[in-house]
Amino acid sequence: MTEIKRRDFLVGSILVAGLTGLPWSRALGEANHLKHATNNYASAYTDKTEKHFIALVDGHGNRGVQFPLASRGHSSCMSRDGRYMAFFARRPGTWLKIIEINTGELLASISTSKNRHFYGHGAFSHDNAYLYAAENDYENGRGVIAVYSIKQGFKRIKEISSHGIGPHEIGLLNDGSTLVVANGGIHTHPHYGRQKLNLASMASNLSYIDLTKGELIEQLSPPHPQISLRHFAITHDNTVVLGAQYQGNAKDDQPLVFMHKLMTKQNKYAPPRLSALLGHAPRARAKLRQYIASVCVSRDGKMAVTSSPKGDLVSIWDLSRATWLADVSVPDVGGLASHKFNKHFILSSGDGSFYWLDPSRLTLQRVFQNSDLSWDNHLVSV
Amino acid sequence: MSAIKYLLALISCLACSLSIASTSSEYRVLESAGPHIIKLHSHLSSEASGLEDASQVFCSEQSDEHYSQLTRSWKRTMLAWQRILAINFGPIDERNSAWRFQFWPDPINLVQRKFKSRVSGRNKATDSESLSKASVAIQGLSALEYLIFDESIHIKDLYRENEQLCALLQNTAKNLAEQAGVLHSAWRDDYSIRWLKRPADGSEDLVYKRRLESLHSGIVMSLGAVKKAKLAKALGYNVDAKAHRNPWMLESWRSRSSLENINVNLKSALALYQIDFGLSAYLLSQSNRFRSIDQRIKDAFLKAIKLSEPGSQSAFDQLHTDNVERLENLYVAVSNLYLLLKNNYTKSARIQFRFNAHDGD
Repeated sequence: MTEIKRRDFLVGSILVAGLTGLPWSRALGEANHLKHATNNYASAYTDKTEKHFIALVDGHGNRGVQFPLASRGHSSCMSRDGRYMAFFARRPGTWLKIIEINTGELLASISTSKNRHFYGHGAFSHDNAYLYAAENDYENGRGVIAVYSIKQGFKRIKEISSHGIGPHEIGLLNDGSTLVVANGGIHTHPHYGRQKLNLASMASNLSYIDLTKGELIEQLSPPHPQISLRHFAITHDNTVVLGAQYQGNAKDDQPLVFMHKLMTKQNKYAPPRLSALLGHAPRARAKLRQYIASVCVSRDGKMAVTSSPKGDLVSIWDLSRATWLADVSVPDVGGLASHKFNKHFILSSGDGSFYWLDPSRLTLQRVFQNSDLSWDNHLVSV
Repeated sequence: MSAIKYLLALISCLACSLSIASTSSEYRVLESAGPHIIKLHSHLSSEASGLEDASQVFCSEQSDEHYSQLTRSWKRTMLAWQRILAINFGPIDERNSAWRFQFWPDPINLVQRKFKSRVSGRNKATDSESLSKASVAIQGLSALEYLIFDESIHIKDLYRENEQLCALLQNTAKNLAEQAGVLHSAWRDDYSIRWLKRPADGSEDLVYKRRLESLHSGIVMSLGAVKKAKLAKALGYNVDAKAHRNPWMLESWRSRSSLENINVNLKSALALYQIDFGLSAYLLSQSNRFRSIDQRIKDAFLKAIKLSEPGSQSAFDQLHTDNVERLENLYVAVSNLYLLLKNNYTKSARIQFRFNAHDGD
């Protein structure tokens, strides 16, 4: 894509997003030809009176089942058999909600063990027997991965080390036995809310853990100690695409999007480091304001999108060439999900909007807005 | 042909003037707020330097008068810090330096725990460089409040007996003054220029509005902090059913100046709201029909300020003696003001209070 096309896309997107006053009824009408999403999504949201909820929604942001929460939610994960959705409290929350998808019922409300809190992310095992959750052993300042047995009614049966501090997003490679953990490296303690207690000495890493033994397979550090690896998405061929948050000086120019593929029998030439995705000029990168909130990959694994609510931007990345493609302006964007049946990405925003982004045709359309609520950081396909 | 050219030029001129007009009210807010914010930072820097001086005078002779000067100087510096609570953008955010000024809330008294080894003399690292690299709990105004007001220190006697305490006091005050100076310079010499800088790519409408939104959200977030951190926790308003009233959850409980802090937070937020061409004028520049919401906001500010005026009994003592009606009313008043600014103002002024951008994860 040439520079001119990139610029055109940005300007076009702004026009579509209504920042120049395009009537939304028209945008909605234009969206209809895309066919309604038939799959559902899960997201936390907060209303204008600051009450918190989790909801299952359709691709247009219409809420179906929803449950009130005691505190803000963060992200969720679904079991491979499509039976359960696990929804996690935002750090330093201690609740976990299990929803049965078929009935839409709240199956269980679970609390972490003493001296632990959730980080907002988890993953189900491929055999649907276990739920893994990123947790903080805050008295000892170490990250753990808790294992909950589904057969035992989501009982917490053990924990293993996350091999770092502040485990955030976790996920499984397609072998089902390798757990990927983004250890953000930042020490927090629930007595101090969300205050970062070790910025001077923080050390983030990406860890691959053998779940059968709990042992570290490989660990990679970002190029600067104050780059905090937080979120990632995994393609069908096990490429991990990571989004980071830089904790140093706001004027520094640091890469925030990386990719990595673990060396295996099938992949013998993996570089022993994280590869920063290229093509984002320093000036464009500065607009991200050192902050990536979510990462999502396309179903064919060729593209990724990252959201930056601080910069009001979604960036589109070409994974086959490991390079930046385009930026699109979306106010307060957080959640990203890929559509099950087409190449669209669905975006959710703190201003109550849902958007559909077609990365191939480079179109963005707002399909829903309710200014009485704010969609939270993550949107997950159910 | 020339008529078409003339028409095009006229349309272009009209579009240009409309663009300037729409930019100008946002720009005028930035122009108005900038010097005011620099003045607030200059005041903080000056008070922090005064506190450094007062710590040296006290350590040269631990008299009642010098102790009294020291406590007054700490309170003035704390209030100067409270005045910039709403300025949570710019250098303080870019340098991630808020914690160097104040470590709070501190529900498990980490300040005392972290100071223990240094106060007892077991840890000799009391020079300014060591302290600047030490735990966040023993830096800034919270640390100095502990060193100046904590009852366990038995202030004057202990300072006479323990030379290390004076090193701690003077060097912590020195680091604070340096930080305040750096913050002031950053605003005066750098950020104030960037604050008004026109973007090169012609996106000034968006950029100026975004900066105005950061000013608005700073005020909203400071009110949120007053509501949630400074009042709700101490009053026992918590989702946890076991929560109860706890005066030690108040900010500045050691110096019994919690209400003074809140009062200054509210007054400073109001000043930013109605400064020359501030957020109030911006709202009215959108339409005269917003006079009513503007007045409701101003009235809500005045009500909360009145309820937070320090009286004969400190907030700490009010909670201790279960005399909490006024604090409860203050909580309601601040909550009302917070929602008015967060929801009603944004809707009327057609600006955004960002959700994911401010407190993501």
